[in-house]
Amino acid sequence: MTAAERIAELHAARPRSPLVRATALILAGLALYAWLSGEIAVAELWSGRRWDNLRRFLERDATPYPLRADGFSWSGLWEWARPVLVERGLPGAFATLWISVLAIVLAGGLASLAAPLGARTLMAREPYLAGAGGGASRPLFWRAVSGSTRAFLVLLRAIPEYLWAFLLLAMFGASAWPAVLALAIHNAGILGRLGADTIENLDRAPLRALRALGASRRRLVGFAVFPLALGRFLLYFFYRFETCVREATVLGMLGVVSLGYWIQDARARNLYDDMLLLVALGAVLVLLGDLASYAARSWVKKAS
Amino acid sequence: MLEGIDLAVARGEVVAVVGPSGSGKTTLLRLLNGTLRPTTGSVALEGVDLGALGPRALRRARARVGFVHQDFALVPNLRVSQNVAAGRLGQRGFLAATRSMLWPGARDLAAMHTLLGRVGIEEKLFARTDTLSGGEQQRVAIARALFQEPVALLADEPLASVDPARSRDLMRLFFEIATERGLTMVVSMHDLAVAREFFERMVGLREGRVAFDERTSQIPQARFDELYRLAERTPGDA
Amino acid sequence: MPERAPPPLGRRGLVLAGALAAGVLAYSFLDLSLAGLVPRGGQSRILREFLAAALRPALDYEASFVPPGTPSFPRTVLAAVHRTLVFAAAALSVSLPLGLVLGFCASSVWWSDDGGRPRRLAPLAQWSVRLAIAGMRSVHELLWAVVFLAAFGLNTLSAVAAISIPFAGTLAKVFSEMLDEAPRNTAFALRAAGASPLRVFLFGLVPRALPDMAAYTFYRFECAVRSSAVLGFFGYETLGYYLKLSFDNLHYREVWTYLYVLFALVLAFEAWSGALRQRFVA
Repeated sequence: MTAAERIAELHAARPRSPLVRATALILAGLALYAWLSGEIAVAELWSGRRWDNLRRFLERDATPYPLRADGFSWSGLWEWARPVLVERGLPGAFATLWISVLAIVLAGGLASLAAPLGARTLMAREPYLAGAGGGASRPLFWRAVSGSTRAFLVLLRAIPEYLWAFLLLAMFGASAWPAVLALAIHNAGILGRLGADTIENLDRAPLRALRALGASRRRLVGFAVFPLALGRFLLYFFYRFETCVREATVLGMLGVVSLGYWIQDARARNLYDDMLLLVALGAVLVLLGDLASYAARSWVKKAS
Repeated sequence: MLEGIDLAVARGEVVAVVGPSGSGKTTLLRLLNGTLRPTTGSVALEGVDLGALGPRALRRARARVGFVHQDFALVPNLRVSQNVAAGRLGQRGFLAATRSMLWPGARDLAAMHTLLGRVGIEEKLFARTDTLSGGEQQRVAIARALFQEPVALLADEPLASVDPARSRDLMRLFFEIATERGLTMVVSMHDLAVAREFFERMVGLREGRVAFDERTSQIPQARFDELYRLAERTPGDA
Repeated sequence: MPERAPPPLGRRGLVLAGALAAGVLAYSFLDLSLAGLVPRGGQSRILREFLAAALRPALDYEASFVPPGTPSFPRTVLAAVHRTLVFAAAALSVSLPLGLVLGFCASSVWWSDDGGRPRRLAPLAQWSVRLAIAGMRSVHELLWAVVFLAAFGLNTLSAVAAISIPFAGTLAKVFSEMLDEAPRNTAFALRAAGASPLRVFLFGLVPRALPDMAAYTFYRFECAVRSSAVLGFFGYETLGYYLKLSFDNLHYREVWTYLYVLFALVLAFEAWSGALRQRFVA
């Protein structure tokens, strides 16, 4: 056999991952199809009318009212912005903040309860002691527990927060609860799944030792799993907090009093200048939330 | 970290650099291949001062020196062929380089196959690198360094991740390759026994300075002992 | 029984306590009461009827009168799913290249010589990109949609843009973090072999981060599908639009059909990404 033949032979026998290749092709094809399908009005990009709309919007509607009349001045800008911020913006921003805080704390609590139930290493007759710690050797009952917990968590996060809030609003009336619960439920699904994965990825040696000494499952979770997984879990917790702030802002558009409520209100009243100011405030809030989350995560990381 | 180094390696010579951890062996090797610049003094390759070269010329100089890293520095999720092909990335135009990584041509494949055969793993040409054992990955790293067609080969603790039974085989491989291709070779090592067995010239480093630089046969045991003696001033350290 | 006391929680315990305290604070500031969790009167009827419909999702329109020429219910559902997926795919097709470029520029490794000196303009360029990304990310896609609605009116292109902008920002941020945290030993080895900085980056650094980047992109696609569905609440005819319509008309069984379709989509994504993860790791 010549070298070239041998190379061809090796090439034909090479390990391939058809799934990965197929995925890439499907996604690329889907992206191409999306643009060609006619669902998206690409021609609008060249529509003069749309760009005229934009120009009119920027020059007239979006420019703060006092500035339109008297021309630009910092004091004029402030005079316009102050009441918007004081009466609507800041209260809305604070409401948004509190909603996100309460929601993420609730989500974290729910997730902490669900995570051990979804951890396949814990959900076995003899956690950590039998064989490689799970897999096909687990009895049906335990597999059902972890499987159904995980499926449940997937369902919680399948429904977007906005949709949860919409449904809950109709059933619980206008208070902050629909927003808080919507965020809490959706994020419990996410944090629960991440927590279960974290528990599964814990170093098995110390846990196996404890179990061999006779620790009950409850003690194992409380005294060993929880402290070991806490650091990682807190990181995920703060990551999701950032997203909660973002989402809490827009949930207001359903009628719950967060920043989004005032944004929607301004839009409905055609006060586009106010609307843009409030959107900008929302962005600032999200950035502050990001900073706080980053600070908290760095602090936690240094500890562990 | 390193001080007062005055070292010359002739073409085709094979040298071992020994010393305890932290003595500066890796630093020395990195100086030799131009990835580290000396704060004082100069490093010259084939008579050319590396410090005087501009970035492009420096890269060309580096391409003439192959380096086998201590942790192999391979990309685990790529194929062996792609890791080996990376060796010539410094020597081609951009399009050719990209092509060699994604769809290597027949000539490249043949060259890689030969090299892998030389190091004993020709059948792994298209295997995923992370499916190989440590020793096999070591050989891929060697093949990558050789693919550069270098004039010199540097190896940083190549025996560190190899079990003792295999160390001698691997060293023998290094020597055969160096002799076949007339490579200049500098190898840093921890294992004195293997070093003394194979190398004719040894440089001992201790705390950043050259303790000795002589023909192996002329170094008394006492010098080796002193090299690895614990430092006196900090009794608590290992 | 564990012989020693469990490892002291230290900072993590403090952070945990702080979070709980913040939660209690938030509860009081929001003026919430547990009574608000009990649905009353009309709302409790809605809740009961809604839950009752859960096991009987609609396969046909619930309205007693359906205008002639209306496509069948399954066709409407499928058209909604189709449109939802199309918006998401189109948005990602813009976000991904944009996110890659911005992510490269925002990362520290792009500007460094892998241990060498960063180029002079680097900090300015890097931080302006990071600022731009932060701006893109911090406005929610629904807010972008609302702004575009005001500026351009109801326009499918602006729906796609509304999703792509924040998603590009998020992808860029995550990509830049992955690149900065990827192991650099291969990049160093390629530098030692004489490769130019661009090739060191593309062939030594990016491949190390690539599996994570690909996994995250796939996850983002799933998120885009959800965002696209929610855009339906704003007039675009995706899943959310029809769901809201059915709910407002009290056709709860239809609502459950849409919910089950959403579940199915997400479960399919979960299964697919699980299978992919196995391939990548194995």
